[in-house]
Amino acid sequence: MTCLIDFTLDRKSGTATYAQLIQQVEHALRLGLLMPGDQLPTAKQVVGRLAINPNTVLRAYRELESRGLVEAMPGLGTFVRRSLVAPHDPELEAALGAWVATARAAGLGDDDMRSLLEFALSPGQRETA
Amino acid sequence: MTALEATGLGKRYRDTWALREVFLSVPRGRVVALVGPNGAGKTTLMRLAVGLHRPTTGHLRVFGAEPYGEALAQVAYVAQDKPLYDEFTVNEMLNVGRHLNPRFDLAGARDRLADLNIPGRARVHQLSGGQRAQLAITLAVAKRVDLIVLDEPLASLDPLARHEVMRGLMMAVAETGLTVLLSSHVVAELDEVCDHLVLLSRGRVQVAGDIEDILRAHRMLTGPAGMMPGGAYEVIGEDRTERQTSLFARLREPIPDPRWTAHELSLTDVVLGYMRSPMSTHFPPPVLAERDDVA
Amino acid sequence: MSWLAFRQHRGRMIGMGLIVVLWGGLAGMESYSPVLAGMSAVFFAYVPLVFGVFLGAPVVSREFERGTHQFAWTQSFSRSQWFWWQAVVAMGLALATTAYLGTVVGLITPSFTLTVDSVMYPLTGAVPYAWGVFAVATGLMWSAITRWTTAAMAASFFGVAASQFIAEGLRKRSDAVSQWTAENLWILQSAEVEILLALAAAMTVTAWYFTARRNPA
Repeated sequence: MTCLIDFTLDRKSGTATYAQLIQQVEHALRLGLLMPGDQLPTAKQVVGRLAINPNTVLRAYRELESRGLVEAMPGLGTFVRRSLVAPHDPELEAALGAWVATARAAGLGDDDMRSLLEFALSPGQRETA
Repeated sequence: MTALEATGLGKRYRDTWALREVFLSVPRGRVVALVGPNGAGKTTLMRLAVGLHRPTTGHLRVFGAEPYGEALAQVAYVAQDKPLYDEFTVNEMLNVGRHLNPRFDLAGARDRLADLNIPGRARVHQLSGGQRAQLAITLAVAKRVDLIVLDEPLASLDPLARHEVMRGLMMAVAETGLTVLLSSHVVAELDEVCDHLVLLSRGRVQVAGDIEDILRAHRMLTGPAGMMPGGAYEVIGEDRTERQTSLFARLREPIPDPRWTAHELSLTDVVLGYMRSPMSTHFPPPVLAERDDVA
Repeated sequence: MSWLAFRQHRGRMIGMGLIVVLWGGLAGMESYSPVLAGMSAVFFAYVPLVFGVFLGAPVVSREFERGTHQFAWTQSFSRSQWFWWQAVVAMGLALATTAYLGTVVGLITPSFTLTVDSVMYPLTGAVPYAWGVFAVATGLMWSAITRWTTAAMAASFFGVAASQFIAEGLRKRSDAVSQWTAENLWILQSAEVEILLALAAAMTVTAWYFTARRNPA
C-alpha cells in the first residue's frame, strides 16, 4: 500500500519527533494534500521509513484525534476527518498583499517581515490583541 | 503488568558491587534506553534480566517471573558482539532458533532476512557487521518474546547499518508491541527510538522514568549572578560566571521570576547533567514496587 | 536442543570417523603382515586420551571463548538441558567409536587367554566403554572449570594419562594378591568399571554445576 504523505524528520530542529509529525499532518491538511476520508500512513509504514519508536507515531495520531482532525478506526487505520484548507478570503489576501508592499517600500527584507509576523503571532501579543 | 521489575536488586562480583539497591519498574511496551558511564552496571543488569546472572540480593522479575527455566521463553538477548556460531550458515542458525524455541517464527525470520538481502547459504563469519547484527536481532525477534534485551546494538556499525538495525527493531515493536531494553553510551542516537530512560551510575539507578516526563520536568535556568530564583525546584547542577548563573534543575512548577529564563533540554543534555552530578537521583519511589510484591 | 548439540559435534564426528578409518586400515595391514600383529590393540590405550582432549575438553570452554554461551543459554531451554545434551552427545560419540574399534580389533585378533597384563585387557568387556565415558567426563570437568580450551585439553590429557597409569599399577597389585585367572577376571574388570563410572559421574556433575550454577563471565 502506498502512503498519501511521507513524513520527514529534522533531527537538528530540537522539536520533539511527535510534534514534527503533528505539524506535518496539519501542514498537509492546510495545503489540501490530505482530504477528509484519506488514510494516514500506518505506524509501521512511518517506522519503516524513519526508524523511530512506533509509540511516537501513535502518540502524534492520538493528539491529532483529540484535536478532531483525524479518527482512528480500530483494525483499519487512521483517517482524516476534517480539512484545514483555509476558506478563500480575497479581502484578507489583498490586505496582506498591501501590507507586504508597504513594508517592502519601507525597506524591510523578507526576514524582517517574517520576524514581525512571528512576533505578532507570539502568545504574549495574541493576548493583548 | 510491568515488563521489568527490580526490588532491592544487587549483584556482587567477589568484593565489588556491580549493582546495588536497584529498584525499577518498567511498564510493558516501552523502548527503554539503558545508559550510563562504562562500568555503571548496564551489562550486569541486562544479564540479570535474561538469567545469565543470578542476583546476590533482591529480585528481578520479567513479566512477573524470575528469568530462569521456562520463563526464558519470554526474553531474548542480543549480546554486545552478537555471538553466533561462526561456522554455521545463516539457514543453520535459523534451524538452531527453531529447535531451541517452541514459538519460533521461521517463516517470519526468513522473510526478514530476504528483505535485508542476507543469503541463507552464507556462513555467519562471512557476514558484514551490520548483517550479523541483523541476523542476531532477527533470531531474537523470531523467538516471539515479550522482552528483547540488546547490549550496545549499534556499537561498531556504520551509520547506514545503524539506521537499518534500528528500523528493523522498531518495525518489530510496531508489529508485536514488545518491550525493548537497549543499552548505549551514545545517547543522541536513542532520542527518536526510546521512550523510557534508565540511567545507571556506579551500580545504582540515578534516573528512571518516561522520557517525556523527564524532559518536561527538567529545565536549564539562566539568570543574573549572585542570586537564586524563587519557586519549587531542585538544583542538580550549576554553572556560574561573573554575570550569569545557570542552573540545571528539576521544576515542580514554572519559575515565576521574570529575570530567569527556562530553557528546554534535550535527552542528551539531561543525561549529561545527571552524569556530572552523580549524587543526584530522580526516580519514582520504590514503594510502588514493594506494594506490588505484597499484594 | 539435540539438534544444536549434534550440529556442533559434526566436526568432532568427522574426526572420530577419521580414527575409525585409520583403525580399519591398520587392522587390514595387520591381518596381512604378522609383523604388525597386535599394533591396533596397543594403540587403543591412546584412544581415551583423544576422547578427553577432543570430545570433552572443548564443550563448555569453546562457548565461553567465543561468547556463544550468551546465545545458547538465553534460548527457551535451561542451561542444564543444554549441558546434558552436550554431555550425552559427546559420550555417545565416544561410546560409538569405542564399539567400532573394539569390534575391529576383536575380529583380527587370534584367540587368546585373557590375563591382567594382556594387551587385550583394556579392550575386553565393559572396560573400554567405561574408560571412554571417564575420559569425556574428565574433559568436561576441566572445560567447565577452566573455561579455557587449551588448558582444559592439557589437563584432560594428563588427567586421563595419569589415571591409566594408576589403574595399571592397581591392577598389577591386585593380581599379586588375588592371582586372577581368565575365569574370574571379570570381577576385577567390573570393579574397575564401577570405579571409573562413579568417578565419571562425579566429574560430570561437577561440570554441570560449574556450567549451570556459576555466573558466566
